[in-house]
Amino acid sequence: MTCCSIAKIVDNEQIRNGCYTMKLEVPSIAGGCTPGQFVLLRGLVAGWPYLRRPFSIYSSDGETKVDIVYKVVGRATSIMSGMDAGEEFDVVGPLGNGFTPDETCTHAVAVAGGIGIPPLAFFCQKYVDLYEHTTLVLGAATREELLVPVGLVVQGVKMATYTEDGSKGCRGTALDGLAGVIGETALEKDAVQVIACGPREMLSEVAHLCRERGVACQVSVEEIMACGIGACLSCAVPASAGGYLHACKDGPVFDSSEIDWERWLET
Amino acid sequence: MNLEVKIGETVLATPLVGASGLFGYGNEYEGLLDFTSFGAIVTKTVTLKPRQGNPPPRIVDVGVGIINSIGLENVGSSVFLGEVLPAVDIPCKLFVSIGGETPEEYRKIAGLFTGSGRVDALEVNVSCPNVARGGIAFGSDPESTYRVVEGVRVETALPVIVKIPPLVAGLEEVCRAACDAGADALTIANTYPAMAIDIDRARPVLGGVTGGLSGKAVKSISLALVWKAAGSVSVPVIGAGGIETADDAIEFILAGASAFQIGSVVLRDMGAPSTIVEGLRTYMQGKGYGNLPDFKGKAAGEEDTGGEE
Ligand SMILES: Cc1cc2nc3c(=O)[nH]c(=O)nc-3n(C[C@H](O)[C@H](O)[C@H](O)COP(=O)(O)OP(=O)(O)OC[C@H]3O[C@@H](n4cnc5c(N)ncnc54)[C@H](O)[C@@H]3O)c2cc1C
Ligand SMILES: Cc1cc2nc3c(=O)[nH]c(=O)nc-3n(C[C@H](O)[C@H](O)[C@H](O)COP(=O)(O)O)c2cc1C
Ligand code: FES
Repeated sequence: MTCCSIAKIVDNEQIRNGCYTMKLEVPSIAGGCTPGQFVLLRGLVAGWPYLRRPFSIYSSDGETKVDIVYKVVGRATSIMSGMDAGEEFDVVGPLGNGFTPDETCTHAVAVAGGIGIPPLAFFCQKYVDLYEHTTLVLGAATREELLVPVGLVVQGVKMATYTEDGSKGCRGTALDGLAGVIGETALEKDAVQVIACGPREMLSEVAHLCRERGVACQVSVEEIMACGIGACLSCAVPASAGGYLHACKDGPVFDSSEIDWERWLET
Repeated sequence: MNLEVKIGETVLATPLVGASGLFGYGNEYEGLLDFTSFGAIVTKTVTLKPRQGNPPPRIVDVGVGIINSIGLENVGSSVFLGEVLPAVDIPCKLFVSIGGETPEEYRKIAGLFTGSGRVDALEVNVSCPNVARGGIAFGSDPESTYRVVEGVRVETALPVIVKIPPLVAGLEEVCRAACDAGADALTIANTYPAMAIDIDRARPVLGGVTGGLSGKAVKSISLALVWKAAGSVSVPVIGAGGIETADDAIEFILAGASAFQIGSVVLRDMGAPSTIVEGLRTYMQGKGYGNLPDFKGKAAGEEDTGGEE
């Protein structure tokens, strides 16, 4: 159940330039979270901006600790990068609806662009046994930007790495990776489930490709948030049915067909 | 010690009121907030027809507060009455914020909500754009304020609270017009017109371009408006804008507010409502005040030289 509590930093470690994993001790969340859910954090330190910031849960030990992976992009994340073990956050979570695994599928393909990996890694970790094949496609512009958190080797999950400049793995984007996986085997479209997280443009392309191929696709989206529980209506995402969905409460995981991508990309 | 406040004929257990737009329609924070600290919660502004609201991004963190441009997204009066309201279950009063594009719409919606049983007061959001006058807020001039409130008053026996936009020329006249039209109380004030620009993209940050500033940044401005309004009307004034601590709330009461609203602070700190009410109690105890009226508006009277001793 969602609650508001204190999360204490156990460990805050740089993975590569500008990207960190943070282990938090927060039993109220670790005990009952699922892949795709997120937490809202406010650092109990000087200089924190006004609002809490949302982060996907990267992993959970199911009892006391959860991990997040974050990239420094602005004020709150740069403060976080300087926080040490023992320092605390005011935290709300677990929040939102996670991914819904489809056990009738034999193949799961998780497509991560940029900093999109955390919820997908959690998905792979938790649901790998439900599928005959699970593939995690990682995409980034360059080798340096490729985010592979330490310890991310889930047994039974095939990793497919793509960089646009070819400096690591195959040359191409995460989308090329997805097209490859969907295309490589003579799969029935019903046998594949795609889940994706990453930049909005990438998600839109993934959604498009899946629609073309008739493959089911769930995406985890980002929009600026405030309350995280559907009370303030800040986190509007254009809905294909007209009007708006709310990322925090209706999502952050959506069936990709629920989103009006064209309208969202215009904003 | 008694923290009760009377708004019209409705009695609030405490002077702390949840501001419109931050608490959904009432139930959203169930299990997360201590509702017993609240005298009332004001719902998101409800309009006759559903409204989709503005394109994202709808909120921006400016450090000292936030700017929002939600654009009055709401489910509309019939879904509100049929589905939302019957499910509301909170141990404090429920005020419904109403909005409209014409005085007629305000009047209609006031009528609809009056018979529902679960509504304890109406808060009339006169910051909505007046369509007939090119979208200027009704509350920006005394005549349109009067026309809106007059219509609502005719339709309802519920307490009518009018929420005034800040930065209007002649705030006192607008407040008096609302009272002349039959308002039982005033909320001072709504958010302050503001914007933020993304310097990399050289574009306004918000989808709605401009929005309303709330939070810490506006407290001292709202306090001055409350001071001004409380000096010019005799109905209770509910202070709003940037109240984050018990000390902030006490300042508003000393300036003449009978009650106060909190909004943005809850986005940072869900413990704020209880902390504020506790702090208020401690202050009153220390000063030997048994009731809120003992110190309401006291800053306008003689200096407090240290209580009764
Ligand atoms: C459900 C959800 C899950 C997320 N999971 C992760 C994650 O696992 N790892 C991670 O690194 N980031 C994640 N994010 C994005 C993260 O919340 C933002 O990067 C962070 O809020 C930026 O804060 P800041 O103060 O450092 O940046 P600011 O100084 O506030 O702004 C810098 C930039 O970040 C953008 N930004 C600010 N707030 C958000 C937000 N809430 N969502 C998206 N962009 C924002 C701004 O538009 C601006 O361009 C997630 C966002 C959402 C909505
Ligand atoms: C996200 C958000 C939505 C709001 N929606 C409404 C609204 O629908 N109607 C209204 O009258 N005021 C609305 N307000 C204004 C608040 O009710 C309040 O007047 C304002 O935020 C100042 O108080 P604060 O500084 O404690 O937040 C909204 C404010 C925010 C931040
Ligand atoms: S962040 Fe408040 S409704 Fe989603």
